[in-house]
Order: sequence, then C-alpha cells, then structure tokens
Amino acid sequence: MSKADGRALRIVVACGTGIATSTHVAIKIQEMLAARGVPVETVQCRVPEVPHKLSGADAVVATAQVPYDDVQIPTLSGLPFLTGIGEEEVIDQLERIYLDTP
Amino acid sequence: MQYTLTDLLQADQIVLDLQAADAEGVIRSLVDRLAANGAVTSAYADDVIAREQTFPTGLPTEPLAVAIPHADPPQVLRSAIGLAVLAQPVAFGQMGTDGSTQVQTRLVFLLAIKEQEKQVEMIGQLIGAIQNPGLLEGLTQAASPVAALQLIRETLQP
Repeated sequence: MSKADGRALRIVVACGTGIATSTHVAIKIQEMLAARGVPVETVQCRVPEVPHKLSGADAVVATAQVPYDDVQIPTLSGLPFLTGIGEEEVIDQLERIYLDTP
Repeated sequence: MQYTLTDLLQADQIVLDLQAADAEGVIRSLVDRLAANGAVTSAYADDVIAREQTFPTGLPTEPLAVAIPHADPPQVLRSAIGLAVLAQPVAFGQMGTDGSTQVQTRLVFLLAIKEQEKQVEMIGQLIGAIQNPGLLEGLTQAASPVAALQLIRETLQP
C-alpha cells in the first residue's frame, strides 16, 4: 500500500469455512474504519487460501488460526467482531498500520 | 432474499436444560433435532464434530460464553439453526485457537447453512444476539422453547 498512490488499506479477512462470519467481520471493519476516515478494501477467503491472497495486502484479520509462519504482515484476531468485546482495539491497530505507511 | 435468524430457528429445534457430557453430545442432540425436521442428514453430526477439531467455534461472549458449531454444506438439505441451552457449562475450543484454549459455554447455536450468500443478514442477527447480555441471560431462564423463540424475536426487532 502507498498512500501517495491513493490506495486503500487492504485487509485479508479469513475464516475456517466460508460461512459468512468473514462477511460479517469484513463489513464491521469497513464500517468502523470508514467512520475514522480510513479508506479500506477487504478480501475474504478461507484460511487455507490466505497465502494466495497476501500480494498487496497490509494485514490479515482471521476468525480461525492461521498456521503459516511465512505471513510477513500483521495478523490480527477477528474474534472481537463476533463477541463485541475489544473491537475498537483491533480497529486502532488497523488504523495505526494505515497511519504508519508512508 | 436474505434469511433472518427466526426464519431458520423453529421452536422444536430449541432444547432447554440440555444435559450433555461434552461438545460432541451437544452437537449430536441438536443434529438429531434438525435431522428429524429434514434439514440435515444424520451424517452432519460427524462433519460438525470433525470441523470443530480443526476450527473450534467457542466464543468468549459475556456474561455467558456461546459456541456456533457448523460444517460445510454437503450434508445440509436446507438451511436451519438449532439452539441448546445447557444445564451445565460444556467446554468448546475457542475460535481462532487450535482448541487448546477452551471456553465453558452455556448456549450453543448449531448452524446448518445451505446457501451461504443468503445468510449475511442472519449471521449479523446471530452476532447481534450473542452480543446482547440480556438476551443470553434471558435464554437460560426461558420457560419453554416457544418462550425462548419469542424472546429472540422481540429482542431482534428493529
């Protein structure tokens, strides 16, 4: 991502099955970051597909374990968007990733 | 058309005061209810139990933890939801872990999803429901499955 290019924060949202918890998490992330003025794009997938979705991505948010050691970008838990506990802290971290990008 | 939570959760798919030794017992009881209604095959229980090993579904909601076990659609005949209110807490692996972290759940929503693209609204309502402390407490005190369903319906009303 480069803010100079006008690009949005790109987040891979992963869950164990594609059963729509990732859809819910993606919608919440979009709403909450938009409310802070952070442009965001989300890509949804199942955990096994994560390694193929990393090109150009800035962070992974997952509701299942991501058992890959070679993920070079921040990987955060999406659980707070399901439990309602700690959502703002995850959004804080995503916003910081955006702000820290040149 | 999008499904709602109460489109898929019928009173005879709600089990109150369920006595179960473990997560597998809860899952089998709920699959039995859904299978009796023709929503899933009995083999769905094995799929859900297997998936729970790899991708556990316990959620540390407050004041009561819940689990939302589910599996892929092959054994699902039509979308449906079962709900168990447990007499005693049962351990489920916590979602996002390998299962070594456990949550003691009191409420279990078993999801059988046929058409994922129609479930966005339902999942949103379900997540709204499990984030509602009053509803979670209320379900543990419901006098009957019909009363539990009514409580969910009233709570979710916009």
